[in-house]
Amino acid sequence: MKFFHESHGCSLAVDIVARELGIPLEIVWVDMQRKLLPDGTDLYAINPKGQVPSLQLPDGQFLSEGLAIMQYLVDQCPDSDLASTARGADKYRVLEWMSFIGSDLHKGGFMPLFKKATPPDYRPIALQHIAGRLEWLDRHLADRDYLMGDRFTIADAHCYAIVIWTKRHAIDVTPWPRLEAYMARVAARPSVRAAVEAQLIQEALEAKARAA
Amino acid sequence: MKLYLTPHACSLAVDIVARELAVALALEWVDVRAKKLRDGSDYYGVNPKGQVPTLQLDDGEFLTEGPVIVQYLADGQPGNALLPPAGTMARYRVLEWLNFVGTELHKGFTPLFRPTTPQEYREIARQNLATRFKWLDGELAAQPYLTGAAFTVADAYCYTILMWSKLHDIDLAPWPNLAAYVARVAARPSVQAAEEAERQAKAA
Repeated sequence: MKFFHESHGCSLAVDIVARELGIPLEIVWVDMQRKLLPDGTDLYAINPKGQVPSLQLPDGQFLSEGLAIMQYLVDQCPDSDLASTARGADKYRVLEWMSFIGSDLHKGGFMPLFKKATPPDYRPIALQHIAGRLEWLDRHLADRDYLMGDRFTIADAHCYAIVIWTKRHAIDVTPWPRLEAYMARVAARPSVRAAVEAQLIQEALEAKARAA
Repeated sequence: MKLYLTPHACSLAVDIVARELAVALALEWVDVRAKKLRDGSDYYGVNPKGQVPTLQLDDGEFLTEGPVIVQYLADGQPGNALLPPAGTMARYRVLEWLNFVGTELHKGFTPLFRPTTPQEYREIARQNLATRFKWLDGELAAQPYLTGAAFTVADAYCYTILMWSKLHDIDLAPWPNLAAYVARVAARPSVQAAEEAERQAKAA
């Protein structure tokens, strides 16, 4: 399946989940600044919302929205560890975390920091909201290794992809030591190392192409 | 089951879905700004995030996040018309829409609700919403509901958020399919009943 991905963004979560499940995806790196696919065609042609991630399914249809894509991927591996939490009795708790991460941490949290159009006087407000969310996460992680307890779930893949944006925006996470430990714990997983490395390689290629 | 909700909040979507499913919920109205229940007790004791909606389940546990609560309610009614079964392509399409509404529309309004948002950013927020509305308008040109012919939980949520355009003086007339969609959903008995419940709660 073709996976439309970018070198920075939350689509990292989908790549982590696919690697955890052992589902091979053909990564198509999208230039999100110009909204172009590698062959020069317009991203809007495959996703009218102009966003990644997007997954092209075996029948040719495109599925968008990280949460829907991650659900689709775990459903392909019903016997996997990830599926047992994403499809079982805990399913609504996993979804509850992902809803919070997507709306309050990503869109309601970090998004203004990414937009060039955000006026400078809004940035401190945005940072305050993010800090509140990160503190919330830190408290939750006081007595557990992962969001759902002792098992890594798709919610952790999603959460990690967002909280590492603290690095990009020079947000010091040392006030939240449990969160910091969580980030290191997740980062050590082979799937996460591989997904992050793939993004770093792509980012370096893009930087080189821009400099040329 | 008990639903904690506030008039004009996204919790309306949950009440709409419950009424569509004919699932009886006890409604507990919350002052979400003061974080207090009607009896004066602290709402943070119910939801540490201080947000509505929250659903108290039969076993006493609390479930939060509107898009998740509506899935929980619908899945509790096998064979319902509002949410296709897990693992089907139709289900992924509803999840896709729920995620879009939650992240792009719902959170798109948030800066307009916050009193601390500077005017310059309010303009940006409005422009971002207009871009989303334009796209939605196109999607609704040839079908009555987001996923096609059937009203789903995604429509309950989308309608709820679109109604916030009224709170912020955003005229939907530039997007006629969107305006027609809002009117179409508003006419549903479940929606009328849920909105009447909000009016009565405000008057109380």
